[in-house]
Amino acid sequence: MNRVDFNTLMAIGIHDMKGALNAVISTISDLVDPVTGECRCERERLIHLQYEAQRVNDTLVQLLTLYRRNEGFYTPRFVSTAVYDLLEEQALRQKPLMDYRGVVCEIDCDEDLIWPLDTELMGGLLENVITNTIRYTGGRILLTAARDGDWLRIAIEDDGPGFPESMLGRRDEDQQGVLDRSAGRTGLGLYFCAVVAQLHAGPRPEEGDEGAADSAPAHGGHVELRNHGLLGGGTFVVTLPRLYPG
Amino acid sequence: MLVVDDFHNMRSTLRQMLLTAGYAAIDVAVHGEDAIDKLAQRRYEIVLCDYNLGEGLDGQQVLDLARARRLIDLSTLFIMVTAETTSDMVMGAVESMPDGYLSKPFSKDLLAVRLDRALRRKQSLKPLDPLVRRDDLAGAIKEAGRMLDEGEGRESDLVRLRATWAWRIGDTDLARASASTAWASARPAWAGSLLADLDALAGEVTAAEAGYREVMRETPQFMPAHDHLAALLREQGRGPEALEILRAAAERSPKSLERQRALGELALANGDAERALQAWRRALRIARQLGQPHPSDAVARIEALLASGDSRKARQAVRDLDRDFSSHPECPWYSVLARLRLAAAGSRDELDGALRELEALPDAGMPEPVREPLNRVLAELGQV
Repeated sequence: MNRVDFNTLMAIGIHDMKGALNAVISTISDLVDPVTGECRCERERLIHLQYEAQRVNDTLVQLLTLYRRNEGFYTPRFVSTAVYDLLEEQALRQKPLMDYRGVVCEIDCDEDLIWPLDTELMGGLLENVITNTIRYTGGRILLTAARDGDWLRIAIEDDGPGFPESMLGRRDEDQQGVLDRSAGRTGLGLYFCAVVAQLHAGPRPEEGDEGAADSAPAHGGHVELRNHGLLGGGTFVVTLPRLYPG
Repeated sequence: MLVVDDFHNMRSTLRQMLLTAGYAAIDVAVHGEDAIDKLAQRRYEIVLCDYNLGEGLDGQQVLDLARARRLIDLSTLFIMVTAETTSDMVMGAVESMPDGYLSKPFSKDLLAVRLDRALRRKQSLKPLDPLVRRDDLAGAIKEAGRMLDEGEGRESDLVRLRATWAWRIGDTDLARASASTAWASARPAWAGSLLADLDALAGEVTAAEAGYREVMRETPQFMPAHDHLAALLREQGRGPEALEILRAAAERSPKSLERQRALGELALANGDAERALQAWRRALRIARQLGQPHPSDAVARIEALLASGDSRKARQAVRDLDRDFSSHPECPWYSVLARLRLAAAGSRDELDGALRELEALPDAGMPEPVREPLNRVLAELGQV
């Protein structure tokens, strides 16, 4: 498999974090009046700090996961998970930022939908995508999830301007294009998402069940970027195969 | 609201979070048995129960027991709190579904949001509570139909409830219609399993088997499909296949008393004494945990011991039976049955004493499940 060299990923990650930390430092210095030494604790700046710090954290989580995967000691744990709960949890985590930006987030998912997935990996993926979406949306975000045969489809939609043409389509970790610098700071995040989706793979343990073999997903999941979604803006879609917990 | 957790710290943290979120009147239970006692004393609207409760009952057993004994209403909200390490165990085998899950650690905001959402969903079922409480299922079906017509409550819940009630009162047409509707849209496991039950009832064995297998493939955590398929296969004389299904199901979810009993019987009937022994040992333990120990489990274990050729342990097990179940009113009958089994397996010295005891027992008091095996073993001993 044509995996991207981890050193390259690390360089990109460091670049991203350096940018975020720079923003943190300059914001903090703005908090104190250079003349009077007075502390100006503005909500706007605090939210911004929170956002940049969150991004450093996200990037570290991503790099760590990618590193462990690269070294061959990340074994995903597929656990039957209530998908609505997963979406709700991630949306709630980013509520302060959404509230501040006046973003409204809705969830459209069957509350009874249960799917086996690695909650840590998928939590990281959703966190990354939602953070990114908050930046580009016009004011609305829609999280949807539904099963499609032996696949689960989760989509994060917004009403913003959408993705640049060059980023559209299915993204696989093997595609060097995922790390295209022109994609800006989303490069590593998108690569991470592709890896997370692909890590959702595995044999199907059902023996002697003829029907199952045909529909068995041979490969792991994948991610795809689209435009003109339900809200008119960009749509991030992650598709995961049905795997067996344990 | 009732909070069930075996850790003092967690109980007070939860309490504090709930108070902040605007919930008052919070009772606490410190373990599963305590929870059952509290649930028996009063009706709660919300039960927040940790899955892992230490030694005794776990959260799933509390839920199963509370539902079986009708200590909670249809509209009672039961939320299972899980730790990250146990969540695959909890979600990997569902005997009866809680109304929601909360995975530790969680924030007070998440607790509030999840309770609020689940409450809204459950509160809409309130009109059905009195009907279900007095077992008026026909009335409940009618009311659910009205709610569906008028768009009250959540459609998928109402369709599911109506289907299961229809099945229970034998209205197979309505059960099939409701299950088909649900299956056609979201393919929930209960609907697939119920359709298979209906096929099995109609003698459509092939269709039923395919139906159960489909559900097990798509939703392996839905345990009733495993149990019902095993029962179907057994009826069809396919014992070894049934045993394999039940063995895997018991491995996936080992705490169901009924499943361990069925596994014990099936294993013995198929000559797998080891497996049977293990199942009956577990059944005895679970029954004790659930507060419903029964001497028939001990007799079954003795039978499995004899089948495995260990008559020394079997004799010991009879003494255990006499001791452990001495306060059980049916104990003498099962004790006699066990001794006769010992005799039939070669311990002839047990025969006279057992027959004398049997003589002394009033025939009218014989528990019905004892009659047939007793006659069988007496015939075997040439005593009829």
